[in-house]
Amino acid sequence: MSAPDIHVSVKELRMLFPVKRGLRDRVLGVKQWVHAVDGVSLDLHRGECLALVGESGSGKTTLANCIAGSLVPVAGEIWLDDVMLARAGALTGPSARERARLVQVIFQDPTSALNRRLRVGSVLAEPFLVHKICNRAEATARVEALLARVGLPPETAEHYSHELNASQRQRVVIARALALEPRVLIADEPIAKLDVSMQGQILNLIDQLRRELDLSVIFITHDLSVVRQIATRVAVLYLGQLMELQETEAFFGSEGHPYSQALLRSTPRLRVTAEDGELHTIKGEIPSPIDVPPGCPFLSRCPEGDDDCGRTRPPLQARSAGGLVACFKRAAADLAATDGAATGSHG
Amino acid sequence: MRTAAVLSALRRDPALAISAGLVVIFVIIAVFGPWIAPQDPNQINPGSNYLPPSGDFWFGTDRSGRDLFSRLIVGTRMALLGAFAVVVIDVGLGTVYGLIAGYIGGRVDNIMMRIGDILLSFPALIMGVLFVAIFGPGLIPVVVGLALVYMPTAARVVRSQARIQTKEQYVEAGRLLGYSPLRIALRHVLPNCLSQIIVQASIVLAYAVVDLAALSFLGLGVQPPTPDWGNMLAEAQKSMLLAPWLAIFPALAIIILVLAWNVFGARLRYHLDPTERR
Repeated sequence: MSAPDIHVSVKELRMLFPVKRGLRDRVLGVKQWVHAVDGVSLDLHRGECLALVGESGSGKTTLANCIAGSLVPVAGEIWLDDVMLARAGALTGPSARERARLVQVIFQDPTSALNRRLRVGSVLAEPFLVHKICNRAEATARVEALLARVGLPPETAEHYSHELNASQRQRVVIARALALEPRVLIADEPIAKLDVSMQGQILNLIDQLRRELDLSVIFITHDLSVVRQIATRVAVLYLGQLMELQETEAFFGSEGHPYSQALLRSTPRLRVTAEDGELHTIKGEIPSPIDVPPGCPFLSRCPEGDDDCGRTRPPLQARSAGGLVACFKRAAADLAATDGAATGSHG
Repeated sequence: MRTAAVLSALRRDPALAISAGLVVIFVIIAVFGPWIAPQDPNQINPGSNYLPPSGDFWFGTDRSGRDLFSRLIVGTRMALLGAFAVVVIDVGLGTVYGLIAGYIGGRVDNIMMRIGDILLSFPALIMGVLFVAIFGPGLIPVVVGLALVYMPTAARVVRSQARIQTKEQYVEAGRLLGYSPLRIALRHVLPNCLSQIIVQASIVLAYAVVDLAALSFLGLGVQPPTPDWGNMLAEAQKSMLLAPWLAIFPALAIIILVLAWNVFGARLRYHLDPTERR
């Protein structure tokens, strides 16, 4: 296997938010922090679609916002090729305008992401004009090209966003994100607010654009069925920590992290067979992100965890079958398997 | 398409239609008053003072025998001109102030709004009196004083809407596309606050008419002999029992104008602000 071409690299990223405090805490000087992203390292390969999955509050969006430059991380670094985008407490490298041409975001709610006072044509022409890429006359042609790219007729430019349906609106948002020809596209639950009948179209569109334009895509979702459709790799976040990073096929097949398995078991399926029975639910409480436990964050809900898991945080380790996992049990099982194979061959 | 929407709103909403009609009539009277008035408002008619309403003098005459109807008509200009001036200054300043506070948010917002609260704690009339004490009586100091007192209210309205809009994702999208804060504030946030600003303007106008009349009544605003509803009322006070029409007609004019603008403002808000509809 050739070494992957790393496009974006996130190193030990931490993002904390201060908790809104009452008068008592302020007087006493108690400071509390929500650990939204708690030491995450991961790479985005060039041209791949990396799915970020996890429950709400797991830090998916915060991580994406840090990469996009909407948030300044508390610790860690973000690199795009050989340019550092951010480090602890500061955005570095490119200016906001230059950054806009590197990374763009597709938002969850296309209604909120479009200014309803502007026609689609103005919305899409604005990036060209602000960045002085072309004049107003040439922008019209470019807007048409953008609309064609996302499968909308040129007349769409004359409409206001509220005259479009949700799928068309999301196409406009995607078109706007593509206007500056970014290299990295972050899609933050882009189909969560769409009807099921429209979700597929948008998924296919994003996939098609990734291939055609050689984009590196970070796709945030909590829907695992979507992951299988679109992602090349999957990163599982839990309580701001990376639990597993795996090729998509392997993720759905192998003995992954207990949390990943629990997620897979609790996902509703289209075809239900008799032995499927009731869907599993993940039992137990999620620890508070303000008071993160010292050991494995998933311990309180893990069916396999024991006291050892609660002492130290499991490191992210390479698995024998590929991928990374942060779990003592899986690491031990891998080790036993390779030992067994080794002794077997010798004996 | 826009005109069609306005016409259908007027047809379906009689309160809007009637108040808008009155507003238009008042504006026409204010603009063309001197040509509409049957007599010269300042013409003294010796011997016909304190005449009750009649065919010659529809609303009667005052102490100097001047035609009250003509004075009321010509006085409309002062009432509306002053009030419009207050609105323009008030809403103009308030929009800039509120937009800055709402868009930047955080500590800046807090400090700016507390300063606004201090201004707001002055009663409008006291501020008017203060400005007259400093700059002397007349329409301009009174207008500026009132506009400053009303400004925080307009600022608050704009600020809260700007706050809401700034949380919308199109603002974040603009930042990520490298748009300048000024561009986002003026081209994206401000137009989305426009309906609130228009409504606020129509409400302030009604308040301004009343307060300007009150200050003229106290002799601080428009100075006699220029006809003005407030100073007409002040004169009428001296002969209330002898010639009650001198007080009744200017008072009616103020009431109708204020009511019309208030209803107009309320209906406008209903039609422009979708959250008002249930």
